Amino acid sequence: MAAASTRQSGLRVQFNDPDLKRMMPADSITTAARELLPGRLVLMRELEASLAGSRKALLALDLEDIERGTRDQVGLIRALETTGTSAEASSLRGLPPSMAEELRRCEAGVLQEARLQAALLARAQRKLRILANMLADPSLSYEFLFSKPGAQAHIL
Amino acid sequence: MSSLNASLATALSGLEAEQGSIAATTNNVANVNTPGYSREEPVLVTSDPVVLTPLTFGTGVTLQSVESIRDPLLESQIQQQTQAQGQFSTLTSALQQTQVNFTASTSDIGTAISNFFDSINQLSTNPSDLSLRQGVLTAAGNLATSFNSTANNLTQQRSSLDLSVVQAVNQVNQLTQQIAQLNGQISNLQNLGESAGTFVDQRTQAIDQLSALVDVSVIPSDKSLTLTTTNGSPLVVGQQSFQLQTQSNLSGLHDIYSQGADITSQITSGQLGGTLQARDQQIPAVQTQLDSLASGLATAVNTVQAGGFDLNGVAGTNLFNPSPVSGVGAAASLSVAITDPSLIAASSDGSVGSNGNAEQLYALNSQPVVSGHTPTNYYSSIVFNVGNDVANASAEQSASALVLQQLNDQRSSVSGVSLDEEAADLVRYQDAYAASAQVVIAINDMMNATIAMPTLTG
Repeated sequence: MAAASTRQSGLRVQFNDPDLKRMMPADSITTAARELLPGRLVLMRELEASLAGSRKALLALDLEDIERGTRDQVGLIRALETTGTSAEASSLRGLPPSMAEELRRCEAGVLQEARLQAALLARAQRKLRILANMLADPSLSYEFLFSKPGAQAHIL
Repeated sequence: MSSLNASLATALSGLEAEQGSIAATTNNVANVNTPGYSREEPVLVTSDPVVLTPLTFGTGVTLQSVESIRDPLLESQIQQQTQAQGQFSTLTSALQQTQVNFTASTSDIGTAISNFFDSINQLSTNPSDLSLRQGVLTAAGNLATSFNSTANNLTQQRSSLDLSVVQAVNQVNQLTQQIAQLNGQISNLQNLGESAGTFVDQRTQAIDQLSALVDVSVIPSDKSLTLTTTNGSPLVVGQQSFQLQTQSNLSGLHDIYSQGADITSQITSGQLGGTLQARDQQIPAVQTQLDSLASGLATAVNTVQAGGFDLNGVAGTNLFNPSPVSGVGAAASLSVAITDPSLIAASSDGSVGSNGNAEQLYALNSQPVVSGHTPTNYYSSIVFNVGNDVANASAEQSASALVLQQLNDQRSSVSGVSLDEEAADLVRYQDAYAASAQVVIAINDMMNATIAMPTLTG
């Protein structure tokens, strides 16, 4: 299920990672966990990497790359939804400690990257607004537009 | 027709201009590693020609000025991001210190709440056992101590942040004074038509340092600069600096004044903004939540106590001393009201073996007694909120650092010195100087030839 969704979003996700299988002995975990967790971990890793990759595009204000990254991330999040919620994954019985730890690390990494992404997006948005104003009227003083995150641009 | 002297003057203007250009290049090379230095470029213009009708003769070249290469838009962005970085790095550091109080340990509030209810649960198995009753009193004392020490730590942290506010204001005042002096020097040089690039660089660096401390708006004018806080309080106007003052308020913390007006709440950026945000918003919010938890828990326990009977069959009295009515300071002042373990009202009917009231006390652990939440859940939400605030501030700090790094790289590419470019320029100016010198030699030869010519008389 998860694999199908990620294929639709144009991503190639390998769920047959031997390291993951080694972390999850077949006799120590429920069937549901065995099916869902490897996919969830792979998707988490992909999402973390995709968010980290978007940094460069955001800093360079490369709109095409920003959009591409966002599309990938939306696809990954949709695929993740098919693997259940974070709470469900953590509460699966028989979850090996190494895998639980890896899941937690990935989730924390995704959260941190998402926060950073939001902060960079806010800055990129502000910069684009200023540039748009300058293009609209090159004589416009842009000084005050830098002032605050919530400051509204004045288009003359 | 132009004379040899005029040609000599033209060649000399070339020598002077190239000498000036070489001086600018030399200064660039010398400052290749100087932080904040902006590359200088000579501005050469053609000298006014002489018109001898019907001919017009050029009179050479003039070194009009030596200009520092800067991008004002980039400078503004750098100052803005410097403010944000100053704000969020200070805020992150302050919140991380706050977070230490909520790190899981043997003495944190969460563990103390859990131990307190566990001790009541044990008491309910044998309500007449004095050692179990003593265990409840000890756990209640530990719980009160946890609240007290966390609340005191937060108060101490606010005091130390308050000290940072005073220090930051002093630094702001030193910098604004320095910038006002630099404004004067720049203005004087520009009035004389001379290059003030070095002083402008120093001023830019001082403004960068000021931006790290407080939110600044830079308003350039013809030959000077005005600095205000974002809300418009003046910091520097031309050659005059306006000092900020600090004054203690009723709670013993310092407010910031500009021209007699309290601007504390209007400073939102830079280190000062971050410090004020932690001191006046984030930490007080945590203190209020702690007070609600302490007050809600103490009130609920006392209410259940009052409904039961102690070991002597007497109606229960308060286990905790009542919290202040306003709730303010409840965590800092939480204390156990009784020292005699027999006064714990475990019985619901006055009989010695009854544990009905002990069970009701234990049930508080899973009842919404603090703003609609169980004590443990309410405490968890405090821990979550503090952790979330730390993560958000840290992400904002990282974002500012990344953007600032990129902007500084851009500034280096615009204003920084490239040794390759300087080497190429040096060769160009050297060749031009040599060519002008050659012209001077040629004219000198021509003059000598002219002087040596036999006088044509009679």
